[in-house]
Amino acid sequence: MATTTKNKKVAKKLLSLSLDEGGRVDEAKVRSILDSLREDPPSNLRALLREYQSETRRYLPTVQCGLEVPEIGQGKVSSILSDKINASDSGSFSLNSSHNPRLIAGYKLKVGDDVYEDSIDQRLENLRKSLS
Amino acid sequence: MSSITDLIRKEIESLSTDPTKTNVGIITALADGVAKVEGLSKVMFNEMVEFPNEVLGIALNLEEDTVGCVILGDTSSLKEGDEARTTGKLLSVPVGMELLGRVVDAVGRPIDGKGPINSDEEFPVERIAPGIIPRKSVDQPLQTGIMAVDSMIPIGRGQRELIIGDRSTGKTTIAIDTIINQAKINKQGEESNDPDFRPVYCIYVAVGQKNSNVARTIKVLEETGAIEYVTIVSAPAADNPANQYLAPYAGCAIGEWFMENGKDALIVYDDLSKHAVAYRQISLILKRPSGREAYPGDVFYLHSRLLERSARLNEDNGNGSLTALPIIETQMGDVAGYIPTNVISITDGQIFLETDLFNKGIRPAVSVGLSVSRVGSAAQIKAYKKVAGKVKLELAQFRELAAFSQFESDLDATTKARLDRGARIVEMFKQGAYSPVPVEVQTAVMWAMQNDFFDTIPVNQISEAVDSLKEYLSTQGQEACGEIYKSGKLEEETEQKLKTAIEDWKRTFA
Repeated sequence: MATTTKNKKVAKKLLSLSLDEGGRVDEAKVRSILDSLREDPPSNLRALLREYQSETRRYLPTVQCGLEVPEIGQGKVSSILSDKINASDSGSFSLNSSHNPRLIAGYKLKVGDDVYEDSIDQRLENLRKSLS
Repeated sequence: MSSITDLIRKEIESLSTDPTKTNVGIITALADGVAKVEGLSKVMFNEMVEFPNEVLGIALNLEEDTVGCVILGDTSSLKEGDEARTTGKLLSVPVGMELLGRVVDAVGRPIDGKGPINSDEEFPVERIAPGIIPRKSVDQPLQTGIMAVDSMIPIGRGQRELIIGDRSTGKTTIAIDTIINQAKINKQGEESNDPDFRPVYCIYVAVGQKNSNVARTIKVLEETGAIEYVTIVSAPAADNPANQYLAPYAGCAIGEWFMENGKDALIVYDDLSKHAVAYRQISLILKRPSGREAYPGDVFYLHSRLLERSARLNEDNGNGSLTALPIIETQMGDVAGYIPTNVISITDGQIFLETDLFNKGIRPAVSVGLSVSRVGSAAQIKAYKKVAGKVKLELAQFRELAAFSQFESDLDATTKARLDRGARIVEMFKQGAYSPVPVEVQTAVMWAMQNDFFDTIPVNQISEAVDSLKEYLSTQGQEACGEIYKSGKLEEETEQKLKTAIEDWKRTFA
């Protein structure tokens, strides 16, 4: 139990070292942390890396929005949403767009652990549930 | 054809096209029917969580980084990394008259192969018990049809009476007898067209039992015609612990519907020992701190919040009631165990069944000394109160004297008389399984005992004589019994008719 608590503390420290001035996770900093851990590994490296991964996974959604659109060329939706996000008070958010053909049309936006969805896929799913 | 397309079109038109917002999380660990989910920051305690493949779970542990969810169903289709989403709904079960005669699982889904349940109302499984203001004191009898219980440990509508004893001592039989008796009374009442008649609907909750036992119980209820007044909630031993934990609450929600709609209901929890074990299993998997016998700290609250939901409501709140008969299995007759003492302290009395009495052939094996009903004679009809007033004391004195008399060869006349009377009462209370006796017949038999009609019959023939008298009263002595049934009183005139009927019977029996 004590080891887990210690690992959590160290993982939190490593996460804070991975952030840039804007509060975003900096890939270069993460790489250098991993390199240094590899060069001088602590005894509980595996457990520590797991904690570091969990901390990072929990932190990322608080600074990143994930946008899924059905086609790669739907830059308009991305730019509208990006403008909206930048205009809001949560200025530290960044938008990651990805391609999800299952949506058919519409979008799916993930902010933290909230998901906003307006897609054909979702409407079909609602129809399926109401008919079953 | 066009009607089908119209139906689908209407369904599509009624669908919301607004963007939806859901709160999601990712399964990070999955074991023993419990999923650890990261995310779900807006989940509520006891909220239903939806997993892929329409698997549902309940959020039971809200921790700093993760949420512990118990899965209600097959976990084999889930894996680490799957998405879980909140539903904004508390776990609910269908309620209403449509559930009578049906067998459902812990979440109210039918498992009897009789098709879907067409109920349009749902109640959440976890609800706050009625407070002090809407309640009323228990004063209406709930007849079990078991002479030993109705005379010495009377149960009232809205009471919580524990049935406790070792394995194979007849605990379930007492509960099933009570259910069968309610069905008999309901049928009699419906035939009489009495506008004041209040039927008692029953819910039988089977927790952690063998499927064969549940099937046997269903068969007994079907054979006796009681099934049409009963809902069975089954979470057998093969079911996952989450369902076993939820089943009593689901059954209680079904019973509460009757209570809140001004009706009377009876619920049997068979049994709460296994329920506590299922909850212990869930708690240990959720890594909650364990206490005595590895049960979690809130195992008392587990049962108190369930049993407090049984109540008798006052006239302003519909005058309904929910009577609870929880069952607890003891180990080697130890009533001082952790779970037994908890439930004893919650309930309004207990029927303690002794293995020794059961093995001696005294069935139901009710221990007079350890059984009590805190409602007492308030839940007895006047006629019964009149004849059963002294019987518990007489029987208790008999048990005490019988223990001492084993060492004494020379007994005084008073002691001999008490022992003789006690032995006759013990024989009188012997009763077969699934054969409840109507209250008016019970009153007449007790009256005959109190008025020394059995004194000339040898003790070893009392049981036979009582059965014969019950049959006689049900067929030829209906006049006196009918008066007791209608008025609930034992007037002098009725007593005279009883005397005549019993004297006639005695001649035929001799």
